[in-house]
Amino acid sequence: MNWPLIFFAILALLSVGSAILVVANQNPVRSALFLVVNFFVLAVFYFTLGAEFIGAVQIIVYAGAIMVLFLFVIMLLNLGAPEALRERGKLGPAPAIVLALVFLSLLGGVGAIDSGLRPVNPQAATFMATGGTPEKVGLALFSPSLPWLFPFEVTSFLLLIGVVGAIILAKRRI
Amino acid sequence: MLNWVGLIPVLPLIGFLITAFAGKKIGRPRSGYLATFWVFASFLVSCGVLVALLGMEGEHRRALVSLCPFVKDVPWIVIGNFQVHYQALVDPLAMLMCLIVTGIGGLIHLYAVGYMAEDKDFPRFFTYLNLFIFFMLMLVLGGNILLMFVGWEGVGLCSYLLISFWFEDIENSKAGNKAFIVNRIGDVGFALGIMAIFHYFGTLTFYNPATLGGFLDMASASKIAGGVLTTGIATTIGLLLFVGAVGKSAQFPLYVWLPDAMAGPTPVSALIHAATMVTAGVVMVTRVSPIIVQSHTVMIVIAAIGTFTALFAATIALTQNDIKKVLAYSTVSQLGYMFLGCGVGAFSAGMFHVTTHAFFKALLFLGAGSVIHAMHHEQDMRKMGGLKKLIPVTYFTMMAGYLAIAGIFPFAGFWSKDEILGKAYGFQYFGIVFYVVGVLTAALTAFYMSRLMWKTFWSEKRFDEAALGHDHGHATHDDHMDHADAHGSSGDASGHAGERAEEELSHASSHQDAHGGVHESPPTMTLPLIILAVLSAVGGLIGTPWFNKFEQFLEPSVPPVGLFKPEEGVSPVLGMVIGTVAALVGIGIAYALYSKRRQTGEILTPEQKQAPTLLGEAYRGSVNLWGFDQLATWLGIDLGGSLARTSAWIDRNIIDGIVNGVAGVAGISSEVIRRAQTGFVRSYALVMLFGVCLVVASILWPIISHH
Amino acid sequence: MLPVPTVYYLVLSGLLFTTGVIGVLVKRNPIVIFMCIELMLNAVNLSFIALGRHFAQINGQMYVIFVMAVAAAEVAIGLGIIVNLFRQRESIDIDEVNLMKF
Repeated sequence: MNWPLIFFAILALLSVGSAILVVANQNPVRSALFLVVNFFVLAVFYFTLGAEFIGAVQIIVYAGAIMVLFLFVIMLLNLGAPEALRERGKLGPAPAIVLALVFLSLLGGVGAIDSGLRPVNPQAATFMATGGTPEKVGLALFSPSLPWLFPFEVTSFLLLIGVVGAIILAKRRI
Repeated sequence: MLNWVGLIPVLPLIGFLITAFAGKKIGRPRSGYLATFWVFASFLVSCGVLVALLGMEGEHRRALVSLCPFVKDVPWIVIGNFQVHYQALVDPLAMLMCLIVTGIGGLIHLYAVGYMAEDKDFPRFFTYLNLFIFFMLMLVLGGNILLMFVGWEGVGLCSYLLISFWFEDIENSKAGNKAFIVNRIGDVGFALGIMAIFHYFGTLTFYNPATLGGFLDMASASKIAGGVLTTGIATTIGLLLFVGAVGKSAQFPLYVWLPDAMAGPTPVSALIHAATMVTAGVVMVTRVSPIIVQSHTVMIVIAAIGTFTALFAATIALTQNDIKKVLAYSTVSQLGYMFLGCGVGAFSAGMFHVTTHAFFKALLFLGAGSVIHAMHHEQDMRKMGGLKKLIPVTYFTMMAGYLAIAGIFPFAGFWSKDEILGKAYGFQYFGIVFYVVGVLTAALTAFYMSRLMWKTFWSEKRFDEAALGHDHGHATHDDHMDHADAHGSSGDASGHAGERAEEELSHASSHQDAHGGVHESPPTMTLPLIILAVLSAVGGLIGTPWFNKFEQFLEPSVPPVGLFKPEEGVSPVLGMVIGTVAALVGIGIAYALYSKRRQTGEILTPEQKQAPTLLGEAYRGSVNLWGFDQLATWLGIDLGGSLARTSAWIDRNIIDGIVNGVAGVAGISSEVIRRAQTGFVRSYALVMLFGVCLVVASILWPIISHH
Repeated sequence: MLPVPTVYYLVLSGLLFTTGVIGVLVKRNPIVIFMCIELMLNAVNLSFIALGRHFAQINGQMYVIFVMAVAAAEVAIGLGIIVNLFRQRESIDIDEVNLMKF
């Protein structure tokens, strides 16, 4: 029994299902909550792939900060006009058909994709075991010899801009 | 002395400037005398330059001199290869024309002082006259064809200004317009010819004695810039330049302006439309003769058009009643003779006729002016007659001119006309035809000039002297205040004191005419007449076949061999005899017909004129100028007008339509395209998705197709 | 051999991405559209991590870190805009934000 594969299949079903439900819902709060579920499942995926740090960050940042922000905004807007937020009408069958088509073509293309990929690196298994630790991530981020230091610093600047922008946009009066 | 040639055109220019700005202050007649002075001064300088020229050796009598007396070289336009310097070409042809222009011009200036004495615009007249002399001198002295063209255009301008001198009468203005516009048509050909010359020869200078780089130097050696002067090139250039000559010298079909130009004052007709401007075409053709003789086609065309014009104009002159119109058509006809001379290659004969024609035609015009003046501006010959005893000086001088133009030995016209005809006989192509037509035209010339003399002088008086002065030929000529001064102070040449007193009593006219009736003109007018009469009488003697000093003199300026074969030409004596016979035939027929009708002065009765017979048709056709003037008017105004209107329509609707259409297309297409900006975010997202798919596909495709 | 071949992760990632795209195109509430954009970003993150494991490189996870940072900033600004929009008008139906049309 290939337990990892079975585990993967279950998780995959969960994530796809929650994603579909994000889209299919009329109530935005429910969409948000399903998205949280999706993020959790993805975090589990990251853990299975050996990226523990990333998985943790996913939960903290995405599920813990971004989705909270979403829910805050939904709550803010709900105060004014509860009915205005509901979607008008249900979804028709068309998106489902499209999704089904894509799924089937992807499944059919599995072989092609597989052969298109370059061969697995033999150290993948050890990498999976040890490569995703915070220590490893930190070394990669902050080593001057690697190219990630500069983008890291710039990203901090970007976040600053984001903060400032959000304040300016959302304030009632400057 | 040669370096002073620049002074020749400058002196009349100074006169122009002085009369233009200070003419009114100087007053009349002093401003007139001042203007005349400048022209005579120019004449003296021309004589001096001529003497200097004669000091040079025969074949080398050609000098390119700067037109600024103190400056060696004045470059005017210098753009790379296109070099035009302000230079004069001093050679026999140029000096001959200088003498004619300034000499006869000066005499006419003097005459005009008397003729225009009572005109209110006296100073303006002399301003224009001096300006004309300046431009004409630039034309003949120009060292390159562009300077000649400047003078060419300038005399056209002055012609316009002077023809429409009495512009308050709209008809005079129209005549001026007609002259300028028809001239302009010729000028297009001339301008194209200049461009062709530059294109083929690379220079516009006529001759350059130092470097032999002038285009006429090259043409004489049958060369063009970098090649050989082919007949085709010579034909092209020759025809284009000849179109200009046709316009300026009133040949068929561009002659229609000259008779209308008689609307200007008579001194203008004498100077411009007899002696100088109209001969500019002949001068130009002679000047570029080295090119023209290389194309037989052009020569034939010139000779043919000249001969045809001569005959055509003579037939019209037969029936004209206005004395000036007869002389105008006569001028056109004589110009045809000059072109015939040039066309057969006898350029010096053509120029000789220019010279003699200047003498006798100016004389005839001035005499006619004297007649008109005496008749108080009556120009219709049917209302004249019997003037022989009344204005004897005018009469005798006009006799001299009449005999000259008819070609009677030994007057000037005889020698020049017979020289041309004789050389035409020997012309390689249809020489005999030209000769016969020329002789026929000579007979006609003698006839219509005799007719003019009969009607004006020899027939019985057909007017009432007492009634003279009430009908004025000109509408605006009404200031007779100074008339008395001009006549009284300078004395009356014919002393009609008795008649004057008589007229004083019986004249109850609105203007204070101190003396009416027919009286001789004042000395300022009769003196030039006398001088010109003498010249008409003896001036031809420098060109007799046995003693042709004229031809000798002109040799450096004209190509040596024409298309006539001298040995096949009519022998001089035979030619003279035939010419004289033709003239006498014309005179004789006129005598026979008119002597019987001394009272009426008309050969044909009014019934005969209206009759549908051949004679009647011929008469009416001639009177109506053979319909050509109407044809030209129709072509120019109706046809030209509709052409212009069509072009304007095309421009407005089609060309502007295309441009507007392009703009319209832009507008319509943008109307269609802008609908993509729906404003819906979701449609934008969809389009973006499509774009992304395209990009991904284009990236993946090479990879996929490898498998 | 890896317990779960990489290709399955890629297929899954593709599915999630497609779902996100459909959501962006179909939904009318801008907040939900934003959530679908986040879904797309996460699908890509999954793909990055899977391929990082496949090639035994840390680069996959590096990319993911930066994607997450940018996504966070983007969400902040985007929601600020939506809040502003709601203040201007009562409804936040995205179809009614169409003033920038021809």
